[in-house]
Amino acid sequence: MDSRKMDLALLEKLCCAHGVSGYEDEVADIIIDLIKDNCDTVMKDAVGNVLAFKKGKKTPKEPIMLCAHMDEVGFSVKYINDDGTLDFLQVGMSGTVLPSKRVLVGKNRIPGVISSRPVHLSPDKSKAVKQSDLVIDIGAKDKAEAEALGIFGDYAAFCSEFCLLGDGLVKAKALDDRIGCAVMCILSSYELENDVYFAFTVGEELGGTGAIAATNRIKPGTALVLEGTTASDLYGYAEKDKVCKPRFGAVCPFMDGGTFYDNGLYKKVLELAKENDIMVQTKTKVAGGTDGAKIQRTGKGAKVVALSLACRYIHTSSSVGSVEDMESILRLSELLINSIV
Amino acid sequence: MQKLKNFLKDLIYAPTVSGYETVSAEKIMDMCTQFSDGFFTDGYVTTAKSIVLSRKCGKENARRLCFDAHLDTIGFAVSEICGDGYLRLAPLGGIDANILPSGEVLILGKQRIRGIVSSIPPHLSGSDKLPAIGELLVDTGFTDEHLREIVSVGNPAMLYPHFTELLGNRISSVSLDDKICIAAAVEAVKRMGNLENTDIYLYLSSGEERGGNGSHHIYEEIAPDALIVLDVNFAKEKGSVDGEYGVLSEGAMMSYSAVTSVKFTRFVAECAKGEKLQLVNEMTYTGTNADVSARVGFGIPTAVVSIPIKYMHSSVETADMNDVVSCANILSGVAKQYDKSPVCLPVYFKGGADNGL
Repeated sequence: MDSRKMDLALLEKLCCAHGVSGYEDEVADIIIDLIKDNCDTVMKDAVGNVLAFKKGKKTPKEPIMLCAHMDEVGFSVKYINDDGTLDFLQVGMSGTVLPSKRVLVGKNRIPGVISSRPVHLSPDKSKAVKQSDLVIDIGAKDKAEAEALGIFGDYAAFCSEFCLLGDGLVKAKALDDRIGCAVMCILSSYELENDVYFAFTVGEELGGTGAIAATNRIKPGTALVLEGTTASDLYGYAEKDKVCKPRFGAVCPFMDGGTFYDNGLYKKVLELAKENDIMVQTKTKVAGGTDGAKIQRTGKGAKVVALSLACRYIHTSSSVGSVEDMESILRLSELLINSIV
Repeated sequence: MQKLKNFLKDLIYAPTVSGYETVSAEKIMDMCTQFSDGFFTDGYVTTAKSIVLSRKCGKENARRLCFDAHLDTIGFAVSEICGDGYLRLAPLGGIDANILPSGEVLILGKQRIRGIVSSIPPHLSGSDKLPAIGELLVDTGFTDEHLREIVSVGNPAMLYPHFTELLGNRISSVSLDDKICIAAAVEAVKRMGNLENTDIYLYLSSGEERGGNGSHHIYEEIAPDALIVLDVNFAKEKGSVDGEYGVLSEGAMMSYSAVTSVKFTRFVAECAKGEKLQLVNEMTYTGTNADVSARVGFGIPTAVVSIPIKYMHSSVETADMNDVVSCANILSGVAKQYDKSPVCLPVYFKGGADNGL
């Protein structure tokens, strides 16, 4: 088991790729490339999901589906102003994390920055700025120069280096949910006891567009959702408000804002963790959501379980998670797949 | 142009947070001396952490023209090591709390480490009120014990430097205020050549973001007979009123105000003919070092020349390098013509300086 290490180079490649909801193709292509030698079937469906099948030593009674979403929070260019700046829309973020951040616009990755009003000119410094007052500035001298780049309607993603932070943590954009994608890519290279379907889905941040199509095609009996989830273990917060904490293991929720996780599988995960000395924690708040809710409500309704990475500052340019927790997720996923009959 | 950009980038990546200028003062002095191609023949760091660079023409009682660009930048000091690898920061200079959540800072402890300013988790937010900067938690990712080995209360920190090249010659970075003016001044001296009758001083003053501390000593250190204060100024952004601010890429700016010298300002405008120059009227004060330095010693005739930037005091201050070049041309034009004009000299109508006046 000791060789079950997190491949950080692979995670970096996935985190640095762009896949704002609706524009997942770049991530999809990277994933197809990473898994095609490991799997027996690899396909991209009509909505853009990457679906794959890997033969195991045996075929379980009902299909097992692993699911991670490819999309990330980000922006799209809504309007080009006369001064060449860009008004934008955003998917999945609170407006408070936007001012003064760097972005890359479109497939050609044109560098841009999100504006920030000079503090000298702000009438009320204690008030949060409104997203509608912000623009993306790519340095275009006027509307015509920006329009000529063909970026109207295109997406923009955060520009944020993948780097190690402090003791054993990683800082990157899009840990939610490239960590899930990375774990699935690594699992595809293992020899597994059971046949497994991998679903790399689109549109989770918009409510699970891809998960529905994937579930209808695969018809899983068991679904393991691999995700990034909100950690709020800030200094001084009450233990009950922390939800989950980096360095405290894989997160296995019993319930969240949208999903009733299968009680049997939840207990199974806790058992496997105990037997194999792997750190696991649950969420202390019933909050958030995953593709699990859509999987559960599609077709006949699969048994769903999730293993998530506790991510600080999720849905921002700088999400932070623990490398050890990533390895716990990887090991528990493998054990869970192998234990299903 | 690329050389100038790289010089500016190097200046920005050498941290000089207000009050902590000595972290990189010597380094910046060397960088300026080197980039000036041997123009500066003398340089030192003052007691008050400012830098004085000069080239003297060799004539006795030569006229002394000085450029002042402030060395310090906005930033922070570590105010508390909290626990669990978190710390808190006190702002040095005006910083808007809006830009911080999920932003990155560079903490200058025993090692230089990265910190992420925590964003408020969605399930615990929901108000449009921002916490005070001193309340925000900065995540270093270190264990408590390890963090305390590296960082102490009182260590400086800055917004994490990322230099971004935008379209055209536009750039975006933290600390353009006022490193971009240092770059303009050093570029200017490269362009002015050998001056026969004028001593040129470059004063990189400390503490501007905290009330112009370094400016108070300019008379003691240099006693120039004319001074051009170089600082950044507001460029028009989304939501600003037409005519209120400068415009990016339309050249350097110059301010008329009650504290600065109208005569000297007009002289600068005269010398700037042929270069783009945006004139603005600040009426009373300028919000720059000029508010201090015009009133030290016997009073220094001062003009304020500025470079327009957007998003001032953020990590993405945005400027056009063409404006830097136009600023450099104006400064070198002033230096070349300075000895041919009586502007800024005291005038005696009867008797002379030997009577103690």
